[in-house]
Amino acid sequence: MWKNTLKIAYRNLVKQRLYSTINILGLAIGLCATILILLFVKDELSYDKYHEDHDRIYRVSREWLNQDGTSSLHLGHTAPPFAPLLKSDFGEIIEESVRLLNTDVIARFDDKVFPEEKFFFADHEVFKVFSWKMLQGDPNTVLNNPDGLVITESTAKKYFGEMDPMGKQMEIQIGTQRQEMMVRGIIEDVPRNSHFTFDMLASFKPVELFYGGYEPMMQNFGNNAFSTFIKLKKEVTPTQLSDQLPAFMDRHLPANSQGIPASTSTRLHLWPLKDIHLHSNLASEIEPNSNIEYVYIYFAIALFILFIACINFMNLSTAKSANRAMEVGLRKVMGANKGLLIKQFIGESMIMACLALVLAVLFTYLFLEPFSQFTGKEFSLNFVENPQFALYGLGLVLLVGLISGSYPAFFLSGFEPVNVMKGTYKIGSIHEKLRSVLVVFQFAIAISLIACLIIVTNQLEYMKTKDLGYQKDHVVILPAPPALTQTFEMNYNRLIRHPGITDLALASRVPSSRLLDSQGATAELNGEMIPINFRIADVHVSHTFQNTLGIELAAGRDFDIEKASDSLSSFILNENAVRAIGWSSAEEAIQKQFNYGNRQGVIVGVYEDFHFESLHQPIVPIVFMIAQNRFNEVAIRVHPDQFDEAIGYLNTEWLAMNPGTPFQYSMIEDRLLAQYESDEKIQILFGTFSGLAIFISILGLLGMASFTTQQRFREIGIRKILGASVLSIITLLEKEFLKLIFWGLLISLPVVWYGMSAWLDQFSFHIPMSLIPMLIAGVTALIIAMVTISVLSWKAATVNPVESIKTE
Amino acid sequence: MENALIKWIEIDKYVDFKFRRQFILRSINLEINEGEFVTFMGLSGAGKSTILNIMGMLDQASAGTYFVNNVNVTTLNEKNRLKLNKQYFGYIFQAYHLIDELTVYENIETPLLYRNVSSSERKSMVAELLDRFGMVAKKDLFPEQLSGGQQQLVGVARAIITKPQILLADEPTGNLHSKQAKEIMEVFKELNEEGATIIQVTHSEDNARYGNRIIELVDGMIKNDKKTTHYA
Repeated sequence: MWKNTLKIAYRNLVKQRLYSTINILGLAIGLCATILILLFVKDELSYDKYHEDHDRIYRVSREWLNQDGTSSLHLGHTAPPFAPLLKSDFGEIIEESVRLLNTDVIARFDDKVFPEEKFFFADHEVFKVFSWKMLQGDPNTVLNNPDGLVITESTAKKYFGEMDPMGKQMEIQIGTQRQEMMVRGIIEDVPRNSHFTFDMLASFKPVELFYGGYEPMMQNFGNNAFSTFIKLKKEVTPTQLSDQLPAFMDRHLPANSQGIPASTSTRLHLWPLKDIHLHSNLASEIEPNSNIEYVYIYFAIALFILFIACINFMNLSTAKSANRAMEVGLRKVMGANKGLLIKQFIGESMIMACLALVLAVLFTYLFLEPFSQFTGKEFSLNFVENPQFALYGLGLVLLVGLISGSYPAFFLSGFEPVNVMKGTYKIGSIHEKLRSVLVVFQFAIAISLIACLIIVTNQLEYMKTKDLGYQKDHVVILPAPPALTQTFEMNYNRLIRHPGITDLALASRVPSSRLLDSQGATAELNGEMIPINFRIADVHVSHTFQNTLGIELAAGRDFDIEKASDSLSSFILNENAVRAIGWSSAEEAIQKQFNYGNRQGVIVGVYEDFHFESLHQPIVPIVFMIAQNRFNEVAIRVHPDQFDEAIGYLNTEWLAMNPGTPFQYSMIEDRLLAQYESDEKIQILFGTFSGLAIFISILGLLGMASFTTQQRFREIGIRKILGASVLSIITLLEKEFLKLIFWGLLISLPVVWYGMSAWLDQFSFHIPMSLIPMLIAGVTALIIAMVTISVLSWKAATVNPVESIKTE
Repeated sequence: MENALIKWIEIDKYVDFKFRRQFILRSINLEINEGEFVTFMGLSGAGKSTILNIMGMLDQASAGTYFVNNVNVTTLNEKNRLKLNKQYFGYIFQAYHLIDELTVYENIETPLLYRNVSSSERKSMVAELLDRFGMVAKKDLFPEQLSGGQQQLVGVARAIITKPQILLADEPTGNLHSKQAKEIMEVFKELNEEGATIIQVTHSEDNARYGNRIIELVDGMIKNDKKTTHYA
């Protein structure tokens, strides 16, 4: 029986080469896209789950609240005392706690010098919480010595080559401080599917020293730069801990001046380790995380593509079924019952699906590399290592074969043999309707994807070209080491001498960074000093900040280097802060009393609002002030015509000022682009997959149209004899498909509108939603479809009518 | 006539239009015994093919009762009807109706597949028929590679491979020229002499003379039912 089915399937395949190719190719492309995306989704969902006790590990984050209870700032980092305090207070719930502090360092061994971004100070409990595999050294003791250093395998190769690194001294430079550390352990490279990775782990002791010892550090609740992880004891639920956290905060943090307990203004949260990668997008993270939304988008697209391919498969099979009605009738006459026939047809479609799978796997191997690069991951489709893949693939194919084969199977097996024998058989209208509905859906999906692509592209273009309120181009950013800041005036004069350098300024943060620092403020409103109950972010700058970045002044004046008081008691706000405080205009704010942190003074100027952060973020209230020791970065505006010369000059000066420290600069424009990287990926994704969707849809349309024209071959001949022109026949054939595409457009409208509005809403600044992209998408689909069908219609319409009305 | 193989009592077949009922067959009473070679004759639209379709259970009567070997077919459910069908009938068509995708060998084999005959038995049964019809050399050809007469021979072989008691043939030689037609009719005669009951529909007086009973239909009613003697 099966042999017979196989034979018939094979002969049908060969006999109808065009349709078989269309059918199998369409399904193979769909399957390939699905496999790739499922690999991606599987990887995204696997993050941090390799830790033995990942379901007991939590990250502690800290949130600050406004007086009305709304969130003011939520950091993925906390202050240093929390980890030890949690452990000592909740010893019966918490098994271990650990702090990690990420610092940029320069590491040296012999003549090998590299800047290291993935350098972490870590409590020695780190190996009790996480289960990274130690290759050499004892995890219980490696970080106990203040000079203890653990490096990963690949870092060891980088510095030591074939040498044994154990016991070797490395010089670690932080800022201007240099310290000798000893490699006491080697650890396996951190798996890529971790929400953060490190190259070096160092003993926490030097951090303690930096804060002036254990006691002072345990009082420092203000420096929230520490990643804090805890591991709960077995059979403890996280709520047992989180319920007690407000009381814990009140116990250790003082109430504010009005006697309001600390827990109403700052809170700790617990994040399951495995959720961080996909669900946590706080104001600070160790590394930028992914987003569950993107996983959903990917998954939805995979389903869409697979759906389109299945529709094709079904449509073509049912369309072909007309030719096989006779065979079905005969088989019934010869004694086949319905069940046998259904089995035969589903079997045939499964065979086709299997062929498609083989092709799809080939495609997948072909595209694995580019897709890995695109997603920044390393995918492999190794059936030997992962025999379950073969099982999944087979399951997928059986499912697709079953779904796509079932309709033609039931449809075909329902033929009444007597009708077939009489030759009165005609394709039923229900069947035709279903086929139309499927084509409508196919086009709805294709049009939706094109429309999404247009909207994403427009939004990205908007972000790249929008006037940010300052001049973002040609600004070089360098870290600000003490050698530069301590004698800044002198250095300033030296650097500005170069004709390629227009101006430069120091700042605690430069545009394109996040605004994470803030302190309490009071402001004079209607003659009274009122406390500000929302967050005003602060930026510490040098006098030349406004000129360097090209910010516009809305009222008052800029900082003046001639006025000594400006360095002690002058503030400049942005317009947003002025509005939020309640002054009616920028002018009104000038010369008003303003206190910020411990600094008391007046407002001397107001900057026009500009986009300090990326366009994902709204514009927030900001205060600018001159400060001496809070500078992290230096912004240098260079002349575009003398860019290379300026960079060369800066390089020389930098090395003179900071001997031994590599010169590494960044540009504001590049940093902004980097923030839109994930959005750009979405754009490429939509581009690729809408292209695929269109391609598969066109394949299907081609098949369908050729069947329709085949079926209407005689009708076309008769019409021509009656005097119809070629054009009128083409129009006749295209009309019905155009109708389907129009319905597809109508269905896609609400879907795209709703979905893309939600996507645009995550940007604080975005293009308005409009119908135009959808119309463009619709017209695009229409044109492509028309061209496709026209080719076939033309062929049918130009055939000699005598040919077509001749009966066999 | 207690043991008639086929017995029809007051069989009607009609199609209802909006305001009137169009009869295709009207009050047909009929008995056919084992071993008979019956020919239905009549003009186009007289109802010949309909009789054959109802007899072969491809179509159902609108009214009346139909017995096959004393089993009432009209009250059977589909499953049992199919069983009866498999047991008694073989079909031969004017347009041969071979499956284009199967070879001669496979076409003849197909009915056996639906009757769960073992592979070795199938082989010997098909081989025997190929031999009988002199088609051994053509067994791997596809229908389109054969002449009309050869195709119909395959059709006949396919119909008789299950050894049905009743062979239904609807214009079996309608598409063949006279020499081929004669060959096919000779085969029918042989089968009849071996004991098969044959019921055929034809326009051809020549073909009719191979049988031993001619039933003439006019406007869905039996006009004439007469015994004849064999031609040869």
